[in-house]
Amino acid sequence: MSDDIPAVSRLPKPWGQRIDRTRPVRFSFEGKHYTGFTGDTLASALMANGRHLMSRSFKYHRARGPMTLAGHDVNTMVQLPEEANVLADLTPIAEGLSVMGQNYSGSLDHDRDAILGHFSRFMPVGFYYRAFFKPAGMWKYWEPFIRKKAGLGQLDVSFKPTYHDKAYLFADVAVIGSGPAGLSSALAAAEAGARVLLIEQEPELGGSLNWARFDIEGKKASETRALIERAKHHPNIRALTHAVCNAWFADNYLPVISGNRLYKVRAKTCVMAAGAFEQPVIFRNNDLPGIMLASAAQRLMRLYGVKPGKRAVILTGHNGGYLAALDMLEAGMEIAAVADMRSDDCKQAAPFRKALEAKNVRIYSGTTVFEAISGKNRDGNPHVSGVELRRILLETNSSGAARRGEVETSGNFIECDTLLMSSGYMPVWQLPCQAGGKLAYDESSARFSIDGLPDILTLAGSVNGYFSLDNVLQDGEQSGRRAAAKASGKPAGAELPATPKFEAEAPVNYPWPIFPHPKGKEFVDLDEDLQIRDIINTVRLGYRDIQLIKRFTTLGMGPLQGRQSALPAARLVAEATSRSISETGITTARPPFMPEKLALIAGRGFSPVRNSALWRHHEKAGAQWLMAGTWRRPAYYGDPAQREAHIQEEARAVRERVGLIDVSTLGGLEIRGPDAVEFLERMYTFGFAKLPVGRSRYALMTAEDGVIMDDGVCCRLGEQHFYVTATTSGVDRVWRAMTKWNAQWRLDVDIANVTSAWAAVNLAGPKSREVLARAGVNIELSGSSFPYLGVQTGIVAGIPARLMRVGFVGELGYEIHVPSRYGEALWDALMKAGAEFGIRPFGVEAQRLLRLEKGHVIVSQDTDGMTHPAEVGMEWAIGRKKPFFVGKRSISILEAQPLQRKLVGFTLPKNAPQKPLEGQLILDEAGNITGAITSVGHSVALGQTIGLAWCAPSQSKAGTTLPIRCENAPGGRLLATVVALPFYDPKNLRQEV
Amino acid sequence: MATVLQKTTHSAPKLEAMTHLPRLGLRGRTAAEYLSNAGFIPPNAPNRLTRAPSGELLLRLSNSEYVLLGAKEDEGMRVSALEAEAPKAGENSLYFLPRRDSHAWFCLSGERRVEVMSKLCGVDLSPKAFAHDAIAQTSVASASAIVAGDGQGEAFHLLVDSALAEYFQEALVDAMAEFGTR
Repeated sequence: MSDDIPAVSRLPKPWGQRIDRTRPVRFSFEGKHYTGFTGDTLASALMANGRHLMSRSFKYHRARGPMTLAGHDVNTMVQLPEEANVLADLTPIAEGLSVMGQNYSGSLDHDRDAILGHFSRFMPVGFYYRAFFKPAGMWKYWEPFIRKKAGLGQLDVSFKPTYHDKAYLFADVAVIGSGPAGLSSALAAAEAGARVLLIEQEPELGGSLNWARFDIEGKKASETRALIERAKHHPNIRALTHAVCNAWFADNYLPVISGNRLYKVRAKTCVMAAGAFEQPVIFRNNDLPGIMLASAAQRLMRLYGVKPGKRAVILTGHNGGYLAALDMLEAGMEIAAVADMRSDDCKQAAPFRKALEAKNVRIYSGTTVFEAISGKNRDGNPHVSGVELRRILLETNSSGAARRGEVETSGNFIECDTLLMSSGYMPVWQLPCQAGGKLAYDESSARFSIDGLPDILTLAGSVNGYFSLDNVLQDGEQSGRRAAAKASGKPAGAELPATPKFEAEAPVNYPWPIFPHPKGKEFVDLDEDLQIRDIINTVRLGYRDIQLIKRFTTLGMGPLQGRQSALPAARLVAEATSRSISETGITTARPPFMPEKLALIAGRGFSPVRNSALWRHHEKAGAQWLMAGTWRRPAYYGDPAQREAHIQEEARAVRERVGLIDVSTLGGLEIRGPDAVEFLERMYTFGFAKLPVGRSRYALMTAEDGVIMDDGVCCRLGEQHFYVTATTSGVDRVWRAMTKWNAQWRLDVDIANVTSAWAAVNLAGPKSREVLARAGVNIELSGSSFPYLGVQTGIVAGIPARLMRVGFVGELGYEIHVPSRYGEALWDALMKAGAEFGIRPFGVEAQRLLRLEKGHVIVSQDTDGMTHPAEVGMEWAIGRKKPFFVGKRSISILEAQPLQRKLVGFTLPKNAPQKPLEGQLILDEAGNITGAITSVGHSVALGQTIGLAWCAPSQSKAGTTLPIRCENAPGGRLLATVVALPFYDPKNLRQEV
Repeated sequence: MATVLQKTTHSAPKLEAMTHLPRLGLRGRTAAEYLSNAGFIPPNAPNRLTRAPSGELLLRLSNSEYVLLGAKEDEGMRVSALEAEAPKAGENSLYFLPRRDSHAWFCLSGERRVEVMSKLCGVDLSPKAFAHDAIAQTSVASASAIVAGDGQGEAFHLLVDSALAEYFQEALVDAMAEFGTR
C-alpha cells in the first residue's frame, strides 16, 4: 500500500528471539499500515516502525507510550474491532488487523482533549465529588457531558460471542512463573517425583532468562537457559505458556487463563515464582513516550530485535541499570549518561561503573532526572527529547531532618530520545496476599517482603527477596523440593537439601525515588493520572488510611491495579502521615490479577436436556417443544401460528376418537422387597396394605410439614413389588426423600428410580380399547377383565409391557409402559393401529386442558410450597387410620386450624369478553386480593373458559361470583362463577367403561 | 489455546456408542454371591471394577450394587443370558436394575481422553490418580454419570441417564473437537 510506513531496521540475530523474520505481518494502526513479523506484539511492531504514541491518558489525555512492555502499564491500551482496552504489548499482531487508539477527541495524534492537561490545577483529585452538584439542579446538565467523556474504548454491540470453555487441571505442585526460580523449582519438584504444572504468562518458558542481563560479561543468562530445555522435556512437567494464574483461592485452587480457556487448577502445593515488578522513578513528565523501564528496553531488544531509540539516558537506583546500559551498548545505542541515584561512594556500584566508564559512558552518581523534556519524534508526536539531571541532596539536613526527594537548584540538560528508569522492585504481591500473606517493609533495604503464607504455598526467587541469579536458582530448588515433599505427604524436611548458602546481595531498591517538581506532572499512578500532590493533598484533606486514600483518589483502581504505583504511594502516604511504610501498607489486591473476560467465567455452559425415547418421532410429527424440568416435551403438534387451534383439535380427538401422548417423562420408581408395603404406607398418605396385585391407587405424598410434595399412581405388580409414578419434575425429589427416610427406617426394601428405563404412552379416548386390540395385545381388554385402575403386564404389539387403566384426561385410557429401547416401536404400532380410528398425537397443552376439565390438580402448578391437602380438597386421599405417614401429624394440626384459602373451579360465561391468564388475581368484593388463577383454558367439551384458582374460603361455595382482576376487561374485572369439580363427566362414566 | 510443550505422541480421541450392548444392574445382599456363581469376580471394594477374561466389565458401585457391562466380543450374549434370569422381586434379597434401558453407554479412548474429560469433569482422571480399574460416580458435563476405567488403561466407559444420551454425546464431541475426532 502506498501509505505503508517503512519498518525501521531491526537488530540482527540473536536479538529478536521471539520474531520470525521470514514471516511478515501487515496490520494497521489509526488507519496507517505497518508491517511487523510473526511473534511481534502490536506494541513491538509499532515501536519497530518508530511509533511510540499508542494511547492517551485517562484524565488529562496526555500522550503515552509503552512503559513496561510486559502488560503492566495502561499506556498500551488500544481498540480492536471487536474488543476495547486491549494491551498492545501483550497482543500479537495478525494479518490485516485494524487497530485504533482510544480515549481521544479528534485523532490520537491530535487529541483536542489534550488541552485538559492545562487545566489540571482546576481538576484536583476528588474534584468530581465536590463539583457538579451545585447549584441545585446542575447535575442534569453536567451528566450528559461527563457520560460522553467517561470510559475508554468502544463496545461493539453487534459482536457475536466467541467460544470459551473451561477445563480442570491437577498437579502435585503448581509452579507459577517459569523464570530462573520457577524453572529450578519445577525441575527440583519433578526430580523428586511430583507431577508439576509450570505456568508461564509469556509465550515461552524462561522469564527473565530470555531478556535480562545478570552479569557484566553477559554470560550467565545464556548458560542458565539450559534449564528451559530440561523443563520442556522432563516427563513430570507439564508446561502451560501464554497462561496467567489470575488468583489464588483456598487450598491452591488456581484459575489459570490461557487463550479462550479457563483452567481450574487443583494443586496439592504451589510455588509462587512470579518475580517482581520493576519500579519507576517519580519526576516531572515521567510519562512521556520514550520513557520506559529498563526491563522494557531489554525486552524490546532481546525479544523483538527493536532498539528503543538512538541516544539513551539511564536513570537507576541499583546495578540493574548498568546492566541494561551494557545491553544498549551491545545493541549499538549511544548512552548519553547514566544517572545513578546512589551516592558517589556506593561500593556495590563500583565494578559496574568501571565497566561502563571503560566504554566511555558518563556516569552521574547521586543524581536524578528532575524533569523530562518533551519534544517531537519523527512522526511529530510528543516524545522525550532530553532530561534535566540534578544532584540529589543528602538524605538528612544538618539538623538531622529528612530531606527526601530534594535536589539541587540547578542541573545539566542532556539530549536523548530514550530514557530508561529503574528504582528497584516490588514483589508480585497480589496472589501471595490473596493466600493470606502479609507485606512487611524493611527500611534498611527499602523493600517489601511477604510472610505469613499457608504451608501449601511457597515463594521462590525475586518475589521472595532474592535477585542474584545464583541465589534465585538455589531458592527455587529449595522451594521445589519442599513443595514436592509436602505434596507427597512426607514429613517436612524429609527430602530437603542442606540449607543453601545464599550469597550476599547488593540492595536493589533505592529508598526514595520520588522527586517533586514545583510545576507537578510527576505521575505516581499512570492509570489514573495521579501526581505527587494528589496523594499529599488527599492526606491533607484528612484521609490517612491507605484504603480510604485509594477510594478518594482512585489510586491503584485502574486497569493495572497499582503495579507501579503501590510502592511510591505507600512511601508518600507514610511520609505525609509520619508513619512507617509498614504501618501504612498498601491496598488490598483482590482477584483478578489481570483483567478477565466474563466469557471466561461463563465458559461453555452445560445445561442438560432430557429427551424421551420417542423424541425423533415427535420431531417428525412437527412437535413444538416445551421444557418440563430438564425434559423436552411436545407442547402440541403443528404450526405455531395456529397454536390454539392445534391444542383444541388435539383435545377434541381425545374426547371424540383417540389420542396418543408420550408420558415417558413421568417419574417411575420400583419399590421392591419384603417391607415394600410398609415403606409405601409410611411414604404416602393413602393406605396400600390392602391394594390387591393387579390394581393401582392414587398416591399423594406430603412432606413433614404436611405440604403436598408430589403425587402419582401406585401399581401393585406383585406381593412385594410396586411400580409408583411421580410427576415429571418431582421424581428426583421423591426418590431423594424415599432414600433419606429409609436410611433411618432401615426397612428391607429396594428403591430404584427407573424413570428413563421406561418409555410410556397414554392411549386415551373412546376408541382406545379398539386401537389397543388392533395393535395386538395378549390381555383381555374388556371392562370387567381389565377395569378402571387395573394393572396388567403383557405383550403389546410384540413388546413386553405394563398396562394401567388410568383416567387423567377423563376418557377410557391405557397407560402403556415398555422398556425404553422399545418405545419407538410401540408408538409406531399404536399409530398404525389407530389410523383407521383417526388417532392423533397430543401434547402437554391438550393434556393439561383435558385434565382441567376433569378437575385434576397438577402438583406444583396448582399447588405451591404451602399447600396442604385440605386446601385442594384432597382430604379423601388421607389414610387417617394409618398409625403413621410422613406429614400426618402436621396435617392434623393444619386441619384443626381455620382454612386460609381454597382451590376452586370456576367458569366464565360463554360470552365472556376475554380469557384470563394464569397468575391473574382473584379479588373479594372490596377489591382485596384473595388468590390467583393457577390453571385456565377453553374447554372444547363445555364450550367455555374454565379454570382453577385460589380464593378465600368464603368465596369457595359453588355459585359464588369470583372477580378476576383483568385490566383490559370492562371495569378492570372479569366475573367468574365458582363451580363444583369436575367440570366434565362428573360421574366418570367415560373413563370407567 | 494453551501451548502444551511436553512432547508426547498423541492420537485423536475416539468415542464409541456402546448403548446397543447389553448391561445389567444388580443390587442386594446376595448380589456378589449371585455374580460369583455366574462366573464373575466381584471387585473387592466399591468404586472398583474387574474385567472378565471374556471381556465383560463388572463395576461395583457400592457395598451391594453392581453393574455388569456386556463384552463387545460376544455382543453381550453372556450378560443377556443373565438378564433373562431376573429373579422375582424380593427373592433372596436380589434385585435386577434395568441399566440397559436406564443408562446410555459410551466408550472414550485415545491417549488424549484424559484431556477431553478434564473439560467436562472435575475428577482427576489422569493415570496416576485414576487407576485403570477405578470408578468415579460423579458429574460429567453437569449430568450425573459413572466414569469407569476399562481394566486395561486404554479407555473410559461412561454411563449416563439414557434420556441424556443426545445431550451427553454432543458435549463429548464438542470437548473432543480440538483434538480431532474419530
